[in-house]
Amino acid sequence: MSLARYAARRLVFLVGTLFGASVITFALVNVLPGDVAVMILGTSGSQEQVAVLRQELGLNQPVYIRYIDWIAGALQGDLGRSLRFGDPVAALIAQRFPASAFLAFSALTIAVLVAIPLGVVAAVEQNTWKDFLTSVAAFAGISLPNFFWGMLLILLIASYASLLPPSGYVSPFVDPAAAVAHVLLPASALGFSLMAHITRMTRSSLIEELRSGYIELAKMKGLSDRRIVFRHALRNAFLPVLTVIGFQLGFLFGGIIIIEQLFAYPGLGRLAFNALLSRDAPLIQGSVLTIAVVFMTSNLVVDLLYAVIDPRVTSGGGS
Amino acid sequence: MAAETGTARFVDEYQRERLRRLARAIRHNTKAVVGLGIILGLVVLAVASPMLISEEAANQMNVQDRFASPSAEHPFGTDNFGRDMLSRTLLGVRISLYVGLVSVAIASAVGVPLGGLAGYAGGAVDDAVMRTMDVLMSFPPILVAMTITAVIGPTLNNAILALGLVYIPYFARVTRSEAISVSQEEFVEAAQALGERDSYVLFREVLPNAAAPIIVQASISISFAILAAAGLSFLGLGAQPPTPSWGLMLQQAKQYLTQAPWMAIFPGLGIAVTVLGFNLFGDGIRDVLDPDASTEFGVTDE
Amino acid sequence: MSSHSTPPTDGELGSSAAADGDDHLLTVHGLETVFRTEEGTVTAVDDVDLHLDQGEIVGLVGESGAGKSATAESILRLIESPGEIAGGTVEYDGRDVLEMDESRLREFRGTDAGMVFQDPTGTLNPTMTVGRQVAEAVRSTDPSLSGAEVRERSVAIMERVGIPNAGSRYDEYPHQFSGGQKQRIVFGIAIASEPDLLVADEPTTALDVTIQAQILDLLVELRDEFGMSVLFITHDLGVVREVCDRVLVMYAGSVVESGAVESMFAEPRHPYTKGLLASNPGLDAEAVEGQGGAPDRLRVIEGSMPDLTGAFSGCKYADRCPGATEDCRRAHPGLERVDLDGTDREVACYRHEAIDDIEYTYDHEPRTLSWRAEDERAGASAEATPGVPDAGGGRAGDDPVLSATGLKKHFETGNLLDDLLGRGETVRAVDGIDLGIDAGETLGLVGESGCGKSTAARAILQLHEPTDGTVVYQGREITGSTKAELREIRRDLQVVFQNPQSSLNPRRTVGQIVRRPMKLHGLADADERRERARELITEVGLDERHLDRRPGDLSGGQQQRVAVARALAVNPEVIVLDEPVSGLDVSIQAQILNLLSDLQEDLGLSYLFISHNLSVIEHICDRVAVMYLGELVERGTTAEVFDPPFNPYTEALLSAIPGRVETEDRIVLEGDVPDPSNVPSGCRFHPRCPHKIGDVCETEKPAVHDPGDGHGIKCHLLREEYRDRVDWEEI
Repeated sequence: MSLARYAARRLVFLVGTLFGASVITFALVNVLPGDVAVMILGTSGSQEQVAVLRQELGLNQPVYIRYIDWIAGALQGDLGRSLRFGDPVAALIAQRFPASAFLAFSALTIAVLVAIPLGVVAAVEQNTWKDFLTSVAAFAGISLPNFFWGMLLILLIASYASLLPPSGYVSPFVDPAAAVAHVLLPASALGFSLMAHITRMTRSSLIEELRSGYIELAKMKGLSDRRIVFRHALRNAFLPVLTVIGFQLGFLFGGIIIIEQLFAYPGLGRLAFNALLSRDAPLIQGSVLTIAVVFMTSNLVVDLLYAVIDPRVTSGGGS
Repeated sequence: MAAETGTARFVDEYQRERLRRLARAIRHNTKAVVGLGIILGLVVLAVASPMLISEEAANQMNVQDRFASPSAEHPFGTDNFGRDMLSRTLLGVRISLYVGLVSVAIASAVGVPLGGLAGYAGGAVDDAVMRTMDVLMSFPPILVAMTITAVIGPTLNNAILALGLVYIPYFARVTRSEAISVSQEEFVEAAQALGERDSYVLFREVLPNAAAPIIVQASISISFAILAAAGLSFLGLGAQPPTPSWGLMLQQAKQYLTQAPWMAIFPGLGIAVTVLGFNLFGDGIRDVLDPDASTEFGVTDE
Repeated sequence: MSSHSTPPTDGELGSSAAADGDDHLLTVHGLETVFRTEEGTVTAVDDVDLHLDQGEIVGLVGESGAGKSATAESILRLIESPGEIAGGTVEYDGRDVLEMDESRLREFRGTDAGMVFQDPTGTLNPTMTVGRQVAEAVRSTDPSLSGAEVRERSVAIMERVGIPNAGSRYDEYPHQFSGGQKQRIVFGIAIASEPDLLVADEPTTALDVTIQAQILDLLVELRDEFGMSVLFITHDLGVVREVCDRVLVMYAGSVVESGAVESMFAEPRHPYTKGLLASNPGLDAEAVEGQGGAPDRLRVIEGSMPDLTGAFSGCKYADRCPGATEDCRRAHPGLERVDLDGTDREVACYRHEAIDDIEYTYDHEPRTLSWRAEDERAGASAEATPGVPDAGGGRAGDDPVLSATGLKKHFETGNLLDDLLGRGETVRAVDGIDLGIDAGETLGLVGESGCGKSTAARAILQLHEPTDGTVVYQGREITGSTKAELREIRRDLQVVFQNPQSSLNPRRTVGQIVRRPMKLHGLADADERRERARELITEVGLDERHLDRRPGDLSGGQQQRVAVARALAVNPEVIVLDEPVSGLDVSIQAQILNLLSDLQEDLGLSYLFISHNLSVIEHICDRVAVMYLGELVERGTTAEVFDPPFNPYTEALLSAIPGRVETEDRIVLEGDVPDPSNVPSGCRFHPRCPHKIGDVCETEKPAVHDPGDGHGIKCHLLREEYRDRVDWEEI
């Protein structure tokens, strides 16, 4: 099986999962106990007001009809109109999307660039003080909530040291330098736990690979330690790391909501959070579905990357 | 084998040797010991703190004392309402443990049997269960938890319920993959060849031998759940004021960061220590249990 | 030998070993390697001396734990923490390998020495193309080569080690090659620098017997071509006899005997060597022929290898040696040089002069299980013991106890998506076999890995539901039985698996494991079960204190005894033995084989014995069925099938057993075992068959020839023609 065929297969699975995800998204808002109309109007709304709103929202129709209407619209790019803003949900999302994408990408980049070298050093110099310090730092990274790191960064770097701005967003296409300055703190806070997880996994996976048979063969070829680590072990050790990255992306995308809130960062996460607070049902559905699609797509990318690195994946079974 | 020669006396010595070996393995694993120590310490605090500190007193506002920095009277300082941060931080222990344990109990109570069934039965059952889990896992977990609590109402118990639901697929997945590998062990086939019922094989042969990774997963999930619950409270979607929840305290601290950093530091440390304890413990027992399954967990038959 | 140990003052001036007046390429002296574990320090290699001359193949043989791999890795300094080389010298070409600095060591490994490992799959980097892996070795030998030259040389090497179309396969990954091909590539990497020293650590252990024959041929060819010296590590005495010039026998970290191969096989001087030869059913070792014991039992070495933690007092082998005296308990003997008919021999035994008096014997007192007799007496009351037949001997001999007809088991590969698209493949693991086991006999089912023999066993036991065909037990069809019926039948049909570690639940005690089947089938009350468990555990050669232990604390042989006890607990009639001795060392294998023979004799059991090892099958089975790619190609009594073979595949399998046939007569099958999802047309064996007649083999499925004596052969060549053809070839 070629890589293209593998990708095609994964895509088919993705479509199936996506369908399931859309059902769940819709169900979260429409089937769980709690009347959307009451949610919107709060306890102050009279019975007539509720009835009128229900009519307006089409809530009197059976739930599956409403789902079909919604998903049919969604397939044509129409996610309905926000109850609060009155604008089309799709437009609102499109407007906020780039900021969040930039934030997530920066967080991922920072995490990978810092964590992999740290993990390699810890593995190669196993049981030295470097390894110990890295382990301690990694444990700290996974033990504190990202918003706590965010607050700490705001306090130390933005407030006390005034090195970087504590909030806001500048598009990297408008002013790259300012964009980086603005994104650095939230991205670090967001990427910290991912960084810790990648470091730990790189370390343990590299240690395991360095014990495997092909390393002995490489030694018998007379290769240098450097070549053995970087050409042989690291590539294989990266596979479980990739799995961890895929897994942790879910936490990263979830973390965006909190981090954007903390750093007053105008992205999709804030939009979704505000929609949740104002019970803006179409906007909730739209943004939740969008985040799920992005998450699934990233996982697809991770899977394909895995297949590129490990040729056994595309040949089924393997050895 | 040193054990080839022996008398009746040997049985006792053998049992003692096993226990000694297990104890030594755990002792040698600093991570597990430190983790366990932290967890036990927290449990003691969780039990003792409500006896020493009344929650009403801890919630009592005292505006004159607001933003007091740490001192002998208020070792952790006071918050924007003049409440003693030490009392509130200590009371937070119980809430954190409650959130972590209950949500993981919900998740594992559903996820473990589902995953075990999928892994052991295979085929169509496996497909049906795991494709459903795939769909559930296609969302960032905290996003679903937020949406659920926002819809059914932002309370601590709803947050716990939501987190429990969200973590089900993680337990199902771990259990399934472990159940598959245990099912391939020949003792499972031997049990089938003896005519054991499937339910017996699944619950008495397969799952007990899949316990180690599930325990590890549970320990690590508790720390995830505590972090996530703190996040929900931080956003106002979990515990509501004046509950002394660490996430909520951090939310309040946010506005006064430069003015009163201790309002953030101590609840943050509380979260860090708790989460660290469960992470260390989970990591440590993985090291202890993995190399050799011959530990004292599981069945006492007949 | 070891006495030669005047290290040259300094290797820098390059006085080559050959110029020293002897031929020693490698001289190891006083090598000691320890592993520091929590339980204490294990001395894995204990004061080992050895040397290799130019161009010779020296075998290092021993059971697991003997320290042979640790010796090999120490020589190349591949020992990793917690292992540590604690002392000795490894002198190569005038230098001590153990004293080399990093860059000199790399040079030594890169140009002077090569190594081949046991598991070819783990030895090749899964994410790098094989071409690049070979090229790395080429470039490391000669960094001045250009990219194109490196590639050219790499392809040439791949071709040399027998990879067809090497040029086009250069960019493929290891998983695209079969196990045998992977091992060929590892050989290619090892010889890329044309080293003078090759260390081969169990290079054929992970391979099928027909592939093993190919690889051994390759090894000898390469030695002849490059004039290398080879240190060959193996547990298999047959392989030693096949390829080695000299052999060293290791036991518990020490060399106990060394000398020329044939002389050692003819006249072992160390009791351990003698015991190993006796335990090995495949070796027609003259030295141990025709001495004491029942004819169908192997003479065994009792016990197992000692724990190497801590210090020893006395000869390490004394505990298992039938000839040990008080003197042997004082200190471990050093190697002593003996001259035997002009060949050098070194032996570490105080009593080697008296070797002829040191006899391995095997005695067994016939007995039966107390309740089995009761059950048989009460045989009439069928309600109490459903499905249990009357005593084994009382029945008509014609009807088999257990038989399978047209048995098929196919697996569908692929997932949900493939099912929907109709794209899955069918693996024809078992494709229509007929078997019958008579009461009290042992039927062997033999074949290479992947031939479907284990699947066949599981289909017979209804552990896998057969795709087609019937299984009849005691005249009653059990295919399609309800779960409740099947549960009753399972009392009579038991199974013992290959991996004793995996076949016992690690969380239970041995007592729980043995009592559970009785409880499940309601065979006895709690007290009675305890009583029976004690009797069973004694019957399989363990004792009561083992009942409170867990499987993890038993040795492999002991675990397998427990597995046998569990199978016996329900008082079965038939036991399916799926490779029951394959995971065990030779001396332990012999113990278990004897145990199985004893039990059969005592209890009148019938066995279906599955194995890839023809020597074991030949030793223990009354009748044999040979399986290839899901089909039976021959069946008959052991003598009919093996002596002499009439089916080309059987003949090739037999001839591939190392150490039995003179190398010139050997049939080495080409190619690999084909994939059961894509079986060849006509006779499934035709692509590899050395006696292929012509198109008929490719187009027509051969029918079974059965001259009426129950000896069925599936081949287009009739028995007479086959004989003729073979005779004709010999002329």
